Amino acid sequence: MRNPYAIGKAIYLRAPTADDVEGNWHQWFSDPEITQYLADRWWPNSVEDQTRFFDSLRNSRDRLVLSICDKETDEHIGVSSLSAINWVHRYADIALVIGERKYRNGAVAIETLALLTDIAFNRLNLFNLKSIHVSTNPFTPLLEKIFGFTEVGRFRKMFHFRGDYVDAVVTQLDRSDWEARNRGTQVQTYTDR
Amino acid sequence: MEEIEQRILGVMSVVFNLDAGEIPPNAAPGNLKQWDSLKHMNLVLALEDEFGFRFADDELTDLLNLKLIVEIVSKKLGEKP
Repeated sequence: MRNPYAIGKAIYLRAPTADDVEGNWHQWFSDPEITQYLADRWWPNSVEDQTRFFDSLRNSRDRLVLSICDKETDEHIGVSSLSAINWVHRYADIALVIGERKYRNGAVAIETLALLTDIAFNRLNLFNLKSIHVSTNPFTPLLEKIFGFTEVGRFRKMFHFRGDYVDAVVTQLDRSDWEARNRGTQVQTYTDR
Repeated sequence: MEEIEQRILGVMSVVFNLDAGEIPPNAAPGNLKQWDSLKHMNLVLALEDEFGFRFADDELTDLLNLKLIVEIVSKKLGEKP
């Protein structure tokens, strides 16, 4: 592991590096399969675009982007984030993308979201997490339901998707619900397991 | 525990659209082609519905194969795995 920030059982999260930018990270956000349910990824993504994004993170304190890595191989397999962090009201947007196909088995997404919510509530002391997804996305609603996110509203016919306009679904997870489900357990440790 | 395992196999047979007898004892996403990412999510939710509990995050990350699922569910129900 290199510079782990949060350590799970099969994966760990760490700050992104220039190697990540030169690797597959930029390709994931050109991949039509990966980007099909993302709201604003219509242009091809280049190393230069990814470098600009990476550079923008350098001094950012309202966006925490973490690379997802396989603990055993150290392979960079995806990216996760807490963004639009509001330190006064203590909420953030949450997102994750598993870029490498062989890791898109459900279990990695679950472990990533477990680590990310633990970071949000335990390390950053946030109170609310929110998310928006395209209503035609089959995966995110299930993942969020498992973690106790609730739908709080919809923007009707907000996103153009395959020739039609579909809803943007807004969901929320508040800290008290997360704590109630995880009472007495520990998701992750700050040292190696 | 056998009853729990049978109930889990029942849930899996519905989620994966297989007969319970077609689910091997070492069933896992790597060796059961029906067990993809969507089915994994549906399996977790179906198990919670079947047994009437919610998995904690630490348990969710261990639901990786049939054997582990039986162990975790048994433990949650207070049964010796």
